[in-house]
Amino acid sequence: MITDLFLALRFLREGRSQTLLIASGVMLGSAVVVFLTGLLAGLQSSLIERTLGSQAHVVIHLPRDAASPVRQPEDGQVILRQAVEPEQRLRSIASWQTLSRRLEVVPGVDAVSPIATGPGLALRGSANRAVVILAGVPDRVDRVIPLRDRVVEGRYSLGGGEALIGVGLAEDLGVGVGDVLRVRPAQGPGERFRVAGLFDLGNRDVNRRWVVLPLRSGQTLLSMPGGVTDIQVRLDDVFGADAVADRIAASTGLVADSWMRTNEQLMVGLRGQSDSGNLITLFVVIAVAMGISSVLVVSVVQKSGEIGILRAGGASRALVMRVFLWQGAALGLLGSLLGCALGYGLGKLFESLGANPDGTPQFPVEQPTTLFVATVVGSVLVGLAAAAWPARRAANLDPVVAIRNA
Amino acid sequence: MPEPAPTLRLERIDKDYGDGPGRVQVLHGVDLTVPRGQLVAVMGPSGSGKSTLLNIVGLLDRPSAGKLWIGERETSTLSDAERTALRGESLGFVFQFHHLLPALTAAQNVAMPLAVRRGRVTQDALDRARAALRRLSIEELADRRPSEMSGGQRQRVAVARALVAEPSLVLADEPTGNLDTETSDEVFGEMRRLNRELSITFVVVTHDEALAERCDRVVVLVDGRVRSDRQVE
Repeated sequence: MITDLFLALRFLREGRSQTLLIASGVMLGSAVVVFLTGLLAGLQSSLIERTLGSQAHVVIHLPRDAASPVRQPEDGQVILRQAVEPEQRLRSIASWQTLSRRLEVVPGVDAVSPIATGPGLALRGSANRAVVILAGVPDRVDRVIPLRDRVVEGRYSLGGGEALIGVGLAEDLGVGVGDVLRVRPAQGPGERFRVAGLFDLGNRDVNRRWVVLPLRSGQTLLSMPGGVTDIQVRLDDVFGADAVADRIAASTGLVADSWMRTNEQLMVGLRGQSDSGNLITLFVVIAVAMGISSVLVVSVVQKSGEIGILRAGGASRALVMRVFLWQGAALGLLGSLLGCALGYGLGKLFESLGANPDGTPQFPVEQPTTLFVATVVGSVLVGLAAAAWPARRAANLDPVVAIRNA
Repeated sequence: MPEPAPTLRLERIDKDYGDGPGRVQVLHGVDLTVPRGQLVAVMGPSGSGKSTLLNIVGLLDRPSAGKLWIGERETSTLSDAERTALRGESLGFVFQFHHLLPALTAAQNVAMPLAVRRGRVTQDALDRARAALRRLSIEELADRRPSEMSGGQRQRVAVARALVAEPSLVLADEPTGNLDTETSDEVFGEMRRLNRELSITFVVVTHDEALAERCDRVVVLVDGRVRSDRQVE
């Protein structure tokens, strides 16, 4: 065995109670980090998942119609006018097929779904409800907004004359799978559709308002044959939405809304959670580092005579330094391994405490392997950093003074 | 055939501490040549510079002026790292207090100078440590920790540690100062025997006149100067 590591392990074993005490400190610190990070990540994922369950990461559409001024003011002139916002018409994105193909190869884009969407009315007998018509290509729709898995009754199918509606709308209109309802746009006649399936996206409003139709039917209903109003995009990294949206907007001249901007309050909340989690981690790291450092400083003082003898016996400063660095690293390693186990156990315990109606845990805890690896690596690095100062002190001990004073 | 170089040679060694009016000179032009295999006692009252001299010879401290040879190597131009390496190769130390590492067994303690030099704790080093303990007739202590030994046993282990790397020169600072008369006699007896059997040179700082009379030569320091230097009959 390497001499410095051998000595480091013997020193740790010799100061058994001190070693156990500080390793327990590191263990608790690591456990807090592992547990808290897992809990925050779990809660955030579940929040984001719920939010994005019925939203695309980025939605591309035409800019709003704007009133064009009749005349421009000349030098020294001021035109007093009353601008009236023009009414917004449904218009199709030009060359959307080409644009879709271009978007599919943008880095970070996972899936693209062109849709025709607009307001409409769903009717059955005397009952009617205002709805949002969402017409698209079934597979593409599902890749951006995972609808297939949320079908709770019937099946995910959008053949000719078929529609998918939310469980809320089905209840309001009193329809079930196989029943027929009429969907019509704000103006103009409607079409009849057979309900192929009912979906539950976990969002009451969406469940009561969405009517998902085949693209062609939607285009006809919304009076835009061959056109689409929006292109929905799913990304590999949900948090990259702002950047990708900005890139798309800049390159196409269209409006690209990222989910992060349309859910600003949620983002503020998530950031606040992350910041407080990071702050707690920072304090834990400082406390752990100070603990390791103080124990090692005391150890340097206690062992100064032995360090002096080692130096007299031909040990270099670097070797003495490594003896203490190893101790810091070993305390970090031992403590964090135990801490990971404890943090994992706590996570599992918390998950089992309560469940949502759909069976998912009330407190989801997300602890990927990378979290444990990062905790262990981080702890070892903190241990090394904490040991640096005591190690320097030990290495710089004058052997003569160390031996005389021991 | 040319005469072999002496184990140790000091030429006009000065040592002072501090600057200006607070400057204190501890050694004044000390000359000393110790041939191979000699056991030299260095005596003198407290504050006469004995320990300072031993630290300089042990390459733990640098002289303010003068030259020091260990074997054929002149040491004044060596870097700290080179001095550390030379210390590991050529010198062994025995101190008044044993300074054994309490976490290690006797064999591991004795093997440490070899392990430090090689960077690894090897079986060979542990075997040689056992051989060194055997030479001092204390092999049965090999697996014991310092806390399980008597004062005399610990000091014997410390002597074994000083000898394990087969140094050409062993420096001992009051090696029996903490021992009772009988144990002190025994430990010094062992040192004397090893000095004769292995032709290892010893420089021993001591206050004990009886012990000094059992050496080959007695050098007396007073106020940092060599007052007398005589061979023991």
